[in-house]
Amino acid sequence: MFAVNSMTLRARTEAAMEKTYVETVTTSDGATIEVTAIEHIPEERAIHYIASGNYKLWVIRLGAIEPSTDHVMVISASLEVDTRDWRKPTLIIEAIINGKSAYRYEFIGQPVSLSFTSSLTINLGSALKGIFNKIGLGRTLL
Amino acid sequence: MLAMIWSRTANYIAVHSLAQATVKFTRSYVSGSAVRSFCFSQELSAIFSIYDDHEFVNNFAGEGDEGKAPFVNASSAFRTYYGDANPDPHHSDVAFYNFRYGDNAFFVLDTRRYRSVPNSNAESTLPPTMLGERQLFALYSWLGRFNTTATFKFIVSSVPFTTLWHGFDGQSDSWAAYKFERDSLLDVLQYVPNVVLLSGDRHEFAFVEHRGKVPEISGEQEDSYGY
Repeated sequence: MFAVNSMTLRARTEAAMEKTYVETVTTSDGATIEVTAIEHIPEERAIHYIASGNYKLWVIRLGAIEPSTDHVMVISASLEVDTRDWRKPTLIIEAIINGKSAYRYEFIGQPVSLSFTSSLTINLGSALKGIFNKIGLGRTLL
Repeated sequence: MLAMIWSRTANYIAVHSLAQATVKFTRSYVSGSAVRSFCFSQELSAIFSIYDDHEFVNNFAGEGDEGKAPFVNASSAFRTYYGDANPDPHHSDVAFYNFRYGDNAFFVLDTRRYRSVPNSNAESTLPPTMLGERQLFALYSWLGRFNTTATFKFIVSSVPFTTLWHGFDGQSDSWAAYKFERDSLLDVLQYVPNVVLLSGDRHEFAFVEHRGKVPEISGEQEDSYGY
């Protein structure tokens, strides 16, 4: 049995791009001006990385290499969305490792002026199609 | 927890023969589904799922060919245990689907059935594809439809969208090997407000930002019956 555990995520790409920020500022004499700032950022960058789960245990049984069932690392990511304030839609990201919170981040999205479709179509035929498969009665299980 | 998106291997299927019968794939799901902790999760929350390579064979690329073994038998077993519980797919003969929860919209990609093998044909004038033409059209249409009708738009990919992963298969089995299609998609995504990419596969957690705007959360649940 052997384990592989290494950092395999790069921090950023070499390719960069410009990100433009525009901010409206009110001056002391009451005039409003737009201030533009340009930042050079990588096309992709890792904001947070947890490599704890990056190992696999393998066992050699009867000459064949198989993944080990002894491996008990549990990693999951939890997402919580809060859109009660349309001006500040929030996504809370949490990484949980072995039942404990390992990372938490609040991502504030852009306000979206929601528009709704005015048509409503219900296709009863397609809604019922495959209903037995969906409740597990359509196929013979082992 | 309201829902679990299962973008990863339900069970590690050790394929001994690409032509093995559906019943052998089905057996793997029987043992995987019997794990007590997973049964408990299923009782508490809705589970949305999509297959990845280990439902077929390591790094499987279906090339849009349904006849490519073991697609038919393996996908049939997957549908019986997981796929049929998903929302209706875009068409009756595909696995990718979308659904809405509150003012959030989700598009779950099929990254296995249509992907071509990168660099398999040096003379090809077409770039390698991850999603295939039909699925790409459905995804772009969905983005247009939900651009201003949903606050957050989640796109679920069973493999990482980021090209930052190196290491084992990091550059060959992820979107990194399909850079043209990926960059074309990002050209659109960066102008859609609140698109969030959810991905799996790497047995690690990463929070990555694309073009200073589009976040990707990559994580994967592993436990004693995954790997």
